[in-house]
Amino acid sequence: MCFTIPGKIIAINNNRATVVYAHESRTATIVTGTYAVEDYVIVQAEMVIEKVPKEQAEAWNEFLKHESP
Amino acid sequence: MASEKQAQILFLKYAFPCAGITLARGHITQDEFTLLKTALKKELPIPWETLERIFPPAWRRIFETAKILHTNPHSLDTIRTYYLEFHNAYIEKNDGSYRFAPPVLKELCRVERAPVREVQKNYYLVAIKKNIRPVSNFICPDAEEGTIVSVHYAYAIEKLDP
Repeated sequence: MCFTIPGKIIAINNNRATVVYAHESRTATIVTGTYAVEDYVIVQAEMVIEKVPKEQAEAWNEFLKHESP
Repeated sequence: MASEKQAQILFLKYAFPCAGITLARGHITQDEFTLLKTALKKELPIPWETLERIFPPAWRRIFETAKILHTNPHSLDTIRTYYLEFHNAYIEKNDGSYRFAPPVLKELCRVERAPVREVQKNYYLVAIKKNIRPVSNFICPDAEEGTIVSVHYAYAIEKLDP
């Protein structure tokens, strides 16, 4: 699955992050960068690719109400 | 027909990284998402009407680009030119739903030309604006260190001339 929406990291073991969304969780590889539990992140292609500030993560839902980009 | 097939495949390569947003909005099902991914992996063309139904904003912009260029919107060159030369300008002017997009999303949605700095089994590390970003090699598996690739979200899309 490939949501392209922010999820929150709830655990990190070695280079694997567990990321939770509204209805599910998944694990993704941290390839590069520094991440911590509680960070909001974008996961794509099973990799953590970007950190998202909390206020932007919250704004994502408003964005999703509009047409596709 | 061969070039039409290539154009359909090229469009899907560039558009697929956005399908995650389309899925999150509920505009496509998980099964349709999986179908797109399978088509991409096997390089199977998807009919224009299906692609236009799933990615309507991209097609609106491609049609606008084709009108400016006086070219066929379904041609390989128009699709590539749209993504490489016109796509980011739509983001910068907050076209459509980009008006509501968080800055991180707008940054990830840009199509960038990026040199491959490191090749790993399933991904590349590419350099974008002095940052190193991991991108999947699922769509473009044959790049080497130093190759310039186009990047959309977390995917390398295709190799480009330097």
